[in-house]
Amino acid sequence: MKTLSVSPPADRAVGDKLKLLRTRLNRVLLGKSAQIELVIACLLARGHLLLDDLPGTGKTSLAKAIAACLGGKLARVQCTPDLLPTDVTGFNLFNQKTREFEFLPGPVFADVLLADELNRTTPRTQSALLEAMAERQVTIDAVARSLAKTFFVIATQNPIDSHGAYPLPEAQLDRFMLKLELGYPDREAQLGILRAATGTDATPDRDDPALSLSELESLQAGVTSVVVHPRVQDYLVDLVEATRTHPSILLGVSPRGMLHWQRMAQAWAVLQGRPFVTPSDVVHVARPTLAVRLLTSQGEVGDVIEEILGAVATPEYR
Amino acid sequence: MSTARREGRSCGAGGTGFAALASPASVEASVGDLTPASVRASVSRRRAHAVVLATIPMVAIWVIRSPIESGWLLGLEAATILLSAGGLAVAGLSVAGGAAAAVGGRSGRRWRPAWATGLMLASPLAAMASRWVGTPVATEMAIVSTFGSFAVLLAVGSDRSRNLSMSIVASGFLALFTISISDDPRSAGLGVLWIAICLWHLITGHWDRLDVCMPETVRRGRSVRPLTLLLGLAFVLLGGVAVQGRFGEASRLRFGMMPTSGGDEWSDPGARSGVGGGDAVIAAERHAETFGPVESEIFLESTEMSLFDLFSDMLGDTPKKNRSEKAQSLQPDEFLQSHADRSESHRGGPSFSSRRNRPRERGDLADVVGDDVVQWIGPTGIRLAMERYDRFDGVDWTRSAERSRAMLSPRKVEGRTWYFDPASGALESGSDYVSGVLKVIRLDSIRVPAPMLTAAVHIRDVERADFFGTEPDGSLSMPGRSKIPPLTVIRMVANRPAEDELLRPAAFAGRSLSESSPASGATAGIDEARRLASRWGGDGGSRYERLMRIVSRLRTEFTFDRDTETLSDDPLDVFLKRRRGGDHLFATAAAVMGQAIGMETRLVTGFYVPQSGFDVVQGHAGIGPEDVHVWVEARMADGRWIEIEPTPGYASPNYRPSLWLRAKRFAAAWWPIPVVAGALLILLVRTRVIWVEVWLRLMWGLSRPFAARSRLRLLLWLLECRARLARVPRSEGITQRDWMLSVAGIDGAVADRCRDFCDAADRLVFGGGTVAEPGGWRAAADYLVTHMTTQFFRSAGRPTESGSVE
Repeated sequence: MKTLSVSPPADRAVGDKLKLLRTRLNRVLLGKSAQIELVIACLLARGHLLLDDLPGTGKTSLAKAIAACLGGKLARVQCTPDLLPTDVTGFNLFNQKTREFEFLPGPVFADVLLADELNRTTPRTQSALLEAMAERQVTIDAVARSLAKTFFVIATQNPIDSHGAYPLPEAQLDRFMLKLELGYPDREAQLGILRAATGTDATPDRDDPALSLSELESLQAGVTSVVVHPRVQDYLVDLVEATRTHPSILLGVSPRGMLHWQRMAQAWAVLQGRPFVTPSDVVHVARPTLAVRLLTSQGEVGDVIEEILGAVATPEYR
Repeated sequence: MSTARREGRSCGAGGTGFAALASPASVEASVGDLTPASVRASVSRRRAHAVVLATIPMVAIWVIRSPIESGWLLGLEAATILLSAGGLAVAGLSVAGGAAAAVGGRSGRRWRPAWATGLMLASPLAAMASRWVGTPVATEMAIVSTFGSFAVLLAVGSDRSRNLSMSIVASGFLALFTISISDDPRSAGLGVLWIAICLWHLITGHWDRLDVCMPETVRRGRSVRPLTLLLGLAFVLLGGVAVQGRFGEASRLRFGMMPTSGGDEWSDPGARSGVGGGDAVIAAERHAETFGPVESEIFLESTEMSLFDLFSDMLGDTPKKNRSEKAQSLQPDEFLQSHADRSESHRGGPSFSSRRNRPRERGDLADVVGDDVVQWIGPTGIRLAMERYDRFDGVDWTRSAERSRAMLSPRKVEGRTWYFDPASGALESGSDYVSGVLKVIRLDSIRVPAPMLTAAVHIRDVERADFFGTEPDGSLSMPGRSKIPPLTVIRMVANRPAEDELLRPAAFAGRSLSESSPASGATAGIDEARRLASRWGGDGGSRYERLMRIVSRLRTEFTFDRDTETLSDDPLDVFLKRRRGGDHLFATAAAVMGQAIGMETRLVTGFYVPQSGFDVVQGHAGIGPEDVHVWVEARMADGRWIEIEPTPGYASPNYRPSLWLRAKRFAAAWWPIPVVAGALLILLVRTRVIWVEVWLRLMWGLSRPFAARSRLRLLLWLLECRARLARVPRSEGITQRDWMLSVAGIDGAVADRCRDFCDAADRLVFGGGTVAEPGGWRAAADYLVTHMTTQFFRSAGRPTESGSVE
């Protein structure tokens, strides 16, 4: 992929680390460099990712690779209708030996949580994830427990499997930063997959993380300081308002969604090695960012997004 | 959910539409407009406009009035109005408070009614005074001037926005009125000035509020596409051709044009006055069979002009002939008929000689100047025929009695009895016609002067078929009496063939030369005329066109001079050699030449209605003895005779060409201009890339001294120009960066430079001022100017979607 970066990032070392992260993820998931770029941006923007795709397209592999690349702990929850909230968050267990309640942390206390087929579990369990995703903390028996600062949720949902599915409520969807479709790889990538399967395991080495959790944290902090020019913000607001007035959109972008969008654009700018956001950044991240939070009455979400992007005038060089 | 949606919609109505477009600055400005100071400023600005607008028509009225009225009184009136308006303005300022209070003081308010009264009374008082002085002002003018003063009063004396608007409406009406009554070309300029100022007033005073809901961008739609533009232009041109020449002098006499005139082709308001007033009316009522005044002064003292007198006076006497000469000039078989005709001299002479003495001095007509022979209400520049001669023996014109006398057939049209001449063709509703009213004043003849192809005549309240007939030569007459009673008013409707009919190849009946050859007499002139006819007429075209060519030579190369003596034995020969003579010689020559090219022609004598002869005050064209005229008629294949005018100085008959013919002629006359312009345009359009490219590069070269951001903007504009030229314009939803990169594609050097440039531009524009001007972007920009040409855009084709840039 041709990146847009021309000048080196402020911190060359960080740039190198990002490059390494990119390379490793690309080695796991062949032919999906554009999606991987967005996943990294999502990670930097401190967002959560919703993968909406067919089984076997590499969702779990991606989650595992991310966890490995960060040297963090990966937890995986297979969401089924009988999954209970405590199965996700953890619970207090009475220790007979010490005669005390002892907290058994659930999978959310990992660095990377893979919630597989999230729409197959009950709304109750789904909403248990809400607090964890938004506040990065869980409250069990009135005790709030903080999660890792770099806590990252990758949820997947299966589009064709509608039996016994509980569609994700808008409130929960809005807490995801991106929705991506990995899709089937192209022919060349599939050949690559076949070749790789006969060779050594490409899963990154957990002991040699490309980016440490602390480095990720500082990067995430750096994203917030990326400059967004007032004209770019104007453009962003125009776009957001366009989603609210578009005839075929039932629910437009909320202010929280707008903040996510800006953060995502900032993260994208960082990935391009720029300390400021350009209108192009806003456009580039618009599709996955809007896909998760627009509810249309008619027409494909993708088409509506294209329509909106095409209708709102972009800020020009002047 | 649905509530949320509704809310989203309702606030969204102001969302993208208004709020997004109204920048904070403009919101502040509109809020700021409401401060008292700005309101005052706005009112004073609007008042200034209203005062200027009210002044313009006032000036126009004064300009119209100044040549007619007493100068000092007009000046006094103007001075009073100006003084009153000035006083009112000062008083108004003092009322409004502020600095001007010192000028007017508190007394200003007290004086306002006085100033207003002065303003309003200036014009009426001046009008009264002018009557007293003896140079009266037209009442309408006084009223209009007062109305203008009222507009000034409203503009100067009031702060209310409604009154200011009313003043502008009043002055607008006044401007319209003055422009429409003035025939001064400058008045159109005043109108344009008024409209321009009014437009400015509307833009600054009203339409500036509209900017909030103006669309931010306007896309070029279908309405201004070249095809539409061309269609519109063609439409306008066609309309211009259609109305071209429609506003001639005769047009104002087309009855039924104004809604109040009430007339149509069958009943003209011009005949309302009937046969006159007083004794004449009584006489006409009591003696219906004559319907003319039988015992009037006019009738007792016979001052009527006989046709013989008329032509002898104007064209000169014919030389006395001895008995043998007379005998020779007539056809043997016509001798008896001719004898009979001679005995009825009031029917007109049996022959018309082209040999003439020099006319007597006009002095002996001094006593009859102003005494019309007939009066004509109808189109001017036409001929009223009375007698026709179709045989020429080299000297004299005689009639061959082909037709016998006939009576006209009556037919009721809209309750009135009209008498129709079947020989002139039926009046069709769609065809062109000439209608007119003839009033016989003192004409000693039973022949009715009538336009060619007069199809129907009508005298009010007279239903006597035996009153109307045609003479053997086809001229209209009132047989069975010695002359047309004076003051008879005859309405007539004549056919007028379209020019297209005349131009048809088979429009004119052919006649072999032998048929028309003279029996005897001088033949040298005729031979010369035939020779000239074949030379001038040429070979191409229809008979009519050849005759027109001959006539045009006669009209341009010969001199009309009635005072020439043509006593020679062969007047035609003398005329053709000297190229000078009276209208009878022009007509004779044209008739002979027409026969030479195979047309059937005849000589016509009668009256000519001069083009400028219409007396608007009297309401008719007076036709006196000096208007006698001789011309030619040619016979069409269908039997109709149409006029040809060979004499210079007399208007040619007006055969209206159809729209199609006019368009063809217009195209034939003007085709080189659109062809050359079109070729140039096509060339320019085809080579537009070159010209635009030269221009853009020149601009880029000249922009070097400018700041980086200005040049940045210029470069983008330049590239977008080229893209539009290459028909791959950037859609506004694609960022300029994405667009450029997508156009640059994977072409290495250009793509790299594009990326360099866009990075630099991003830094400059969206970097938030955190970075200084990036180095190297100027080189990249120069490179893009030279490499991303229109051709480059063209070959790059349409840019892909913005998302595809990676």
